[in-house]
Amino acid sequence: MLIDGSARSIDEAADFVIVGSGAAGATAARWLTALGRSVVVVEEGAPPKPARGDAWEALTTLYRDAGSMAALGADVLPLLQGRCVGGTTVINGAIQVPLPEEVWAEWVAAEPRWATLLPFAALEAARERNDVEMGVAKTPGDLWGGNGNTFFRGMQGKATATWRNAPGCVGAGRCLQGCPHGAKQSVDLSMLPKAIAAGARVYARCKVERIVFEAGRAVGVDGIFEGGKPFRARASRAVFVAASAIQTPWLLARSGVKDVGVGFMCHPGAGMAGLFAREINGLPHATQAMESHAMRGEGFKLETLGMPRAFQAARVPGVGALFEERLQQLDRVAIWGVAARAEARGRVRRGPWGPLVQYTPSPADRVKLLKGLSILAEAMLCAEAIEVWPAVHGAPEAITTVKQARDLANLPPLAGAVPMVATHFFCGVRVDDNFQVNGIPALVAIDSSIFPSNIGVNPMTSIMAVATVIAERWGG
Amino acid sequence: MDAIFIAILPGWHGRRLKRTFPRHVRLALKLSGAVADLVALVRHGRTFRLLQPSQREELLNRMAHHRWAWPRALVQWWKLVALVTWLPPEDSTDADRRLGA
Repeated sequence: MLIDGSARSIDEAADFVIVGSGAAGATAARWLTALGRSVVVVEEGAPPKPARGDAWEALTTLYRDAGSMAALGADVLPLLQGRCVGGTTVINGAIQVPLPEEVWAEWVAAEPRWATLLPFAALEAARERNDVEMGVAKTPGDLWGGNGNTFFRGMQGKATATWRNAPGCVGAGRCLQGCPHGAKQSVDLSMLPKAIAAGARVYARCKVERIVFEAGRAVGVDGIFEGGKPFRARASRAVFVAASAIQTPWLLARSGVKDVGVGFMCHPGAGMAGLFAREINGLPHATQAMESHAMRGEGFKLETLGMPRAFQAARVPGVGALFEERLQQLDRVAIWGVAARAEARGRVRRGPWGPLVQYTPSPADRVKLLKGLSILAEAMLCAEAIEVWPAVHGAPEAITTVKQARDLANLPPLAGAVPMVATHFFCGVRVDDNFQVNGIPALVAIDSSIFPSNIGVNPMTSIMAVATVIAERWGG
Repeated sequence: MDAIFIAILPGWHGRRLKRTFPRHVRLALKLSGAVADLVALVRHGRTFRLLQPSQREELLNRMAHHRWAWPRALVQWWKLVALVTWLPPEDSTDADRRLGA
């Protein structure tokens, strides 16, 4: 049962109370209910109802703080997260990449207990099951579109089609606005309905204010509905916190848990725009049809980006008449992105309006982004771009030669030189051998806040696999 | 803010950021508008709104290419907000109209 807000006070009880209905929370609910456990899921946002599919509607109904959250640091770094039933899975590009084994090996090398806490074979088995639930498949050629085909040509054999959880995709290119056709199997359409069918109760528009403790044990949560009515849920077995690596530490800190939010990591990303002579953005096309993992060893991956047109237009350089003139060519503008496996660590603190993320990418992280942008610029020119707009301070506004493209990689990695955005968040919460936060009984973190590091690839698959393993350990 | 948005996107006519955007974001946006006024006062002795269109454009271009990161980021933010809130007029071209659709 999905309860969308409430005009009266609610007092609930279940075996497990899950805070957050995104990749981790919904997946845990799915597999806990499959084991016969009773589950209550509490979600701050509303059920997604994308209709028009424009940037305004998406920002104001699906994105946290209408997409205006940003990290505090030397670089300007917007942080994009979903705030709706289904969480960020509703607004991501649908890309599904398994946890790289080399990353898992790094975790184990740093702390051997991860080998028994999260065995790689168990994670892989969980991933395979979740992939079936979400219909994960390789993007077919007819959905590559102009952007994907151009990327494939420009990358000269180093690009592959993405694997996506969008089995019925019609190529509307609107994943980031919430799929208007319900084709993308975000967890609100794949995991939660099955959990609900098995008895889970999902409360939307209900913000958890704090976790309730009795004799040092987590026993439930206190929250408030959008309309102001109070909500309380008691958990007889455990409280699962699955609100993301930004919201989870913040909720824990609000609830009096010490030493959380330290060591926050993310994948800062940057975009490259290129103007072509032919149409790039014609339909049908998948939002993110192509990617390249060829440079993963160097700490970054490359991918195509299909954005709402307003976001795409913001990547076009200039203001005034020149900007307006360039906007007329928007159908011929390709946007490709680089996401870095950044080494920098930051912190999530309690801020005056919500979580305050302090984070500055290191110079080495900026070098990774510059290298990635340089490769993308060269690939665009190789695919016959008329000009490329890097938006990097110190670079020409428009790049037209391979030499100029290569020079991007040699620019000084100054703070603020590369406009960035981050969408994948990790770390900040320490758990014991039962995934209990700081060893607090029955307080279990199941999202990417418990990852020992960032992973260098799109994290939805890994988050779901980890949540599955934890849910089955606690629910079994 | 309207003067800034129009300087970025001539003919801009848009939605107001009421309630849908958090209060602190709306406050920050308003305060950032004061930065444009301050720069305009220093360079031209008038607030941004009182500048000629060409002066507004020149000032925004100067900020967009500034050696410090924060003026560049401000212009980028204004540009994004202008685009997201823009309601193209009925007689606009298809390309304009599809910006919001």
